[in-house]
Amino acid sequence: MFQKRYLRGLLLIGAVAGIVMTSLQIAGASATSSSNTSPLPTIPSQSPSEIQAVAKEMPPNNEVPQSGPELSLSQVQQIALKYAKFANEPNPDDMKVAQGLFVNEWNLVQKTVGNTSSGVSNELGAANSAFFVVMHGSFTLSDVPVPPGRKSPTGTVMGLILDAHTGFPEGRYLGTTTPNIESLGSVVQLGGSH
Amino acid sequence: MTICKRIALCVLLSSALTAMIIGFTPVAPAKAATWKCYRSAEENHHCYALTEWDMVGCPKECIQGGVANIVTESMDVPGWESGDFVTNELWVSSHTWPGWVESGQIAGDGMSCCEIHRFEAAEPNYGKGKDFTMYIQPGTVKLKEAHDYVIQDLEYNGIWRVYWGQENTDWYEAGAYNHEYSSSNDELEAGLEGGANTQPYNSGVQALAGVWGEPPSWHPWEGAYSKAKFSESPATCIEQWPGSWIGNAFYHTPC
Repeated sequence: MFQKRYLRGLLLIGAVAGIVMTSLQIAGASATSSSNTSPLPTIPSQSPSEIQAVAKEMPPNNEVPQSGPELSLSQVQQIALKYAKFANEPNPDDMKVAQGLFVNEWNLVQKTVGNTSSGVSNELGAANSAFFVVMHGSFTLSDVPVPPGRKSPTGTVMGLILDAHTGFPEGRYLGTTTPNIESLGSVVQLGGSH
Repeated sequence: MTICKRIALCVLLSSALTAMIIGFTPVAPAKAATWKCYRSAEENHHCYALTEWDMVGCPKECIQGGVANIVTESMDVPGWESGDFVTNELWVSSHTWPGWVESGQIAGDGMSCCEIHRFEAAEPNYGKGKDFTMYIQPGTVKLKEAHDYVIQDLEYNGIWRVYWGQENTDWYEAGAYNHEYSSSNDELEAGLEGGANTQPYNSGVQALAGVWGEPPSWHPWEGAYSKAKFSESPATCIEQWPGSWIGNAFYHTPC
């Protein structure tokens, strides 16, 4: 009789312990799943056509005004070398730079790749002064996003548009065609030459 | 011992065994805890936590674009000075052509560890790894703010337009890509991408929709076309928002 009661007691303890463990695990999983704190964002209330219609008239909402001194050409070269190294080319050749308005430099990038669509980045810091650096070498952009399953972009010519005051890397081009930065104004040789 | 007592004992015994087996079985970790992604000159070894929406293609299944409303909740890229980066973004591409257009928000890549910037990038069909262009907006995006990224071609003319908005307002056209792009696509992807030699820290929430129909309208990622699924690299996780469709999800790294 005592043995049966002892056995039943053990079984009861085991059942309770198991149930407690199961509950703790479920609670833990729930805590992990709900660790995000933001509410779920919603898709736009405007239709795709409405967005296209209103967007043309809207200015950018977080433009950064330029201030302070402009970068020296030595600083421009250092930043360009940094991004060349990111692109797996530590010793780029024939590095040149021109200075102009960002919008003209970005449009030159688009022209270089054959993109002739209207409205390309007319609003994106258009009037900001920027340096356009062009360099040659064997580049692989492993520091830029690409769709899953696609190879990192490669090329022999890299273009880099830097904010003239902060050095912020606003624009990048990688391909095999040299952008005609002479069209922007005077060109300065920064390093290496063919 | 009566029959009733024997039955009760058997029930208790089987309940105890079942509960003990369930309760004491360790839950296997869903993902490897080690970040195994890195940047190299040879291949793309980036890590992703994605909702993928692969369609069979036109005329049966294809779309005119998509939207991602993204909230980045946390961001830290310790290896930013050496080129490590993390994005939360939307990609529009196709199974049958190599070009793509992408847009979202990025941190790292020589800029800073934790500041987030809107960006757009593209590669034309003929590029095959070349003629890549990328624009990064100098202004920053705050954590926990909802930002909209739309990529669409409503006219079927091969001009893929990128629109940026915030909280469903302040829309403007950030770019348009028209050279050698197809007039429809059948592959949408959205989520986290990390190209980093050092484990980054990022979490975010996204609401996604595709564009099709006449007039064009938003459609959830799961519905008429039903092949949306999650994809995770090691040390990245993506989960469906409870009670919603698969396009509405939150993701994070590490898991």
